[in-house]
This record gives sequence, structure tokens and C-alpha cells, in this order.
Amino acid sequence: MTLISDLPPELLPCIAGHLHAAVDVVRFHAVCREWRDALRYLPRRPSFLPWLLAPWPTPDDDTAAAGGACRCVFSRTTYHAPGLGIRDKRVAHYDGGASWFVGGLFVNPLTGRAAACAVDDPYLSDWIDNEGSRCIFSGDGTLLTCCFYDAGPPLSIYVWEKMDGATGDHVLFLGYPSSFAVEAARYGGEVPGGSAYFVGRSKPCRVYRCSFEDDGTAATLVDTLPAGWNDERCMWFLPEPDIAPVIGART
Amino acid sequence: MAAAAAEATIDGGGKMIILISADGKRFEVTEAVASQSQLISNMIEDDCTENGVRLPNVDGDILTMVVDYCNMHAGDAAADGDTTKASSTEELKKFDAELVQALENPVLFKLILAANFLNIKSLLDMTCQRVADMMSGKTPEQMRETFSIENDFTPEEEAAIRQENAWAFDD
Repeated sequence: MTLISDLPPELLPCIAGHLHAAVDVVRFHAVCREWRDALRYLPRRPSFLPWLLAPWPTPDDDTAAAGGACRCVFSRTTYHAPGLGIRDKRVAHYDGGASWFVGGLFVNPLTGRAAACAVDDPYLSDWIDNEGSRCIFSGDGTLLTCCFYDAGPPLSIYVWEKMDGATGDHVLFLGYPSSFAVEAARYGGEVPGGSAYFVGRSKPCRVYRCSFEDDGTAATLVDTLPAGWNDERCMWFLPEPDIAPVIGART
Repeated sequence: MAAAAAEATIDGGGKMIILISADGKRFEVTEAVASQSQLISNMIEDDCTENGVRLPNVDGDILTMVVDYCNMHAGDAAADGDTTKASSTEELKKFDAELVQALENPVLFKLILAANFLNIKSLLDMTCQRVADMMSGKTPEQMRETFSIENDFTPEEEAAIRQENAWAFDD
């Protein structure tokens, strides 16, 4: 009988490296000591799939559902993280990270950990506008630009007009107030390269994926957001949970 | 078995290699098929495959799967112009999915061990992905059940771990 514990230790990080939902990675390292330890042997920090931060609830929304919530649209799961309440002070970083600006410090919304403010490169995009043109500053320094406009109802005919830059290898997360690009390879095939994810307005809003490869004519429905997510100005960000090695030796 | 001796002469004219499993089963494959294993590829370069390649870590039933996989994927590595044999991407995807989907855990882990030992990166990736897929969406307790793992954290350690990312443990 061959068990997972019979695998040589170097294979555990190979398996863990295929997990990209933050919740799966966190739970994986909470199974036992050996799996916790596998963290040290990961070739690099896991590449987490982004979360969507709920828009600031309006009075007629179902505020209980949307308040303080984050959504992983890939696993269609909603999470409530501490410290997400201070919505008007959120800061979107050009590399897809997010902070809450509290008392002159950047605070990690997942961990509550505070860091001194370093001035980030400003994000260049504000994608909710009538022109539909915007720039996206990707985390690896490539400047990608695209023009994106609504060709009218239904939503499935959003059209990509122009892309510059190495977009085929990237996946774009278009949101408000920031947008960013991630190398698709970091997600090991879970998310197709040359595509963009965005939130479409409806009640509740829906998340779509658009591919550049098929002329941008078709949008695929990824997730219907929970009740209360009625504003398409949701912010994407890459969650950065803390996973510390276990302190103390085996007894 | 997967590769009969009769095929030896018709198969692309390449040199044949004999793989011998732990339980003595013999598999005859072309060099192109066998060299998808980095281990065997190195042995071919070093000219030490003359008397067959003994694989004491790999059982015959697992080696059958590995050979099937390598036969199927031989077109990836070496395009030899034989279009009738080249498998389409669709076919390959279907074959790969069926190969790993049906496996019971112990067989899956044996296949991972074999892919690791033989150093076949694509097969290792695919099997590790399958294990990761089985973990996805499970709580730590469910993962322990699925993979027969003992929780060896102290209660204090476990509490600290859950506290660290409380959002992930709202069971």
C-alpha cells in the first residue's frame, strides 16, 4: 500500500506548487508538520489567484452579504477577512497587491500586519470610463495597453480593440480602481494566458473572461457574484496570507 | 503487453530498447519513446542499454501505464513525420485525463514515484496536478482523511495556525 507519506519529501512541494487558491495553500500547510515544512522547499512563494473585493455597499444593497467580503471567483467562495472594513482607504498596488492605509501605514488586509509606506509606482488605469481606453501596468514592469469597449447588449459582445505588449502570456484582471497583469504560467495552466477577467454590471454583478485569441468577441461567464454585489467597481487584488513555519521542535 | 516484439521492426526503424520491471516483465519500446524518461535518455547517451534496462523500483502494472503514456506522447518529443501515428492534442488530453482520473490513491502515488524515478517531467506534473486537484476545496481534516495523514500538531500549534488565517477555517 503506497501512501502519500511514502513519497520523497522533495515531491511534496511539487504537489503543493499546483495549488493556487489561497485557501487551498493555507489549508495544505495546516495538515501536518511535514506538509507545513514543505513551505521551506517551495522554489518560490506560491502564486495566489486574485480575490475580488466587494464594492462599498450602497444603502439599497444587501449590505450583510457584501460587507467586508472577498470573493475567489475561481472556487466561487466568499471569505471574510479581518480589517476589510475601512473601504475608503484601500490602496491598490501596481503589482496586484493591496493595502489598507491606516494611521500612516500600509496594512495587509488579510493579516493586519502594518508596513511603512513606500511610494509605489502609481497605477495608471481607471477602467470605468466612457472612452474605454486604459493602460495596465503589469507587475513585471511591462506596460500593456488595451482599448476595451462595450459594443452594446448583451454583455457577451465586449470587444477588444487593440493590445500592445506581450499579452499572450499574461492574464489581465481589470477592475476598479486598478488593473494588473500576471504571467499565466504562474498559475500552471489553471488560468488561460491571453485573456482578461472583468466584472460586468448586472444585479448581482457577474465576472467574465474574455480571450484575445478568439478576436475578443466572446466572453465566458466565470462566476455570478453573491447577492449584494451590485456595483461593478470591485477591486482585484492578490491575497498575501502569512504562513509561518511552525515554531518549536517535535516532542 | 503494450509493446509486442512483433512491432519492433515496423516502428519507425529506430533502435529498440527493452525495459524490465521489478517483477521481470519486459517492454520493448523505441528509443524515441523511451527517451522521454530523462533517466533512460542519459543511459542511451552513455550506451548502457544493450542488455535491457532494469527498473527495480517500478512494478510491471505501473510500467505498463508509463509505457502507454510514453507511446502516446512520443509525438510531442520527436516529430518523425509519421502523421498517422501522431496523436492530436485533443486525443492526448482525453488520454491523459482518463489515465489519472481512474486511479486509486496507492496506484497514483506509485505512478508519481515511477515518474519521479524515471524523470518524466510531464507525467510527474500531471500526476502531481491530480493530487493537488484532490486537495482543492478540502479542509485540513478532509485532506487528512483522504490521504491517511495523522495530525501531529499540538493543540496549541493548531490553534496558532488557524488563528493566523482565520478566514480560511470558517468551516
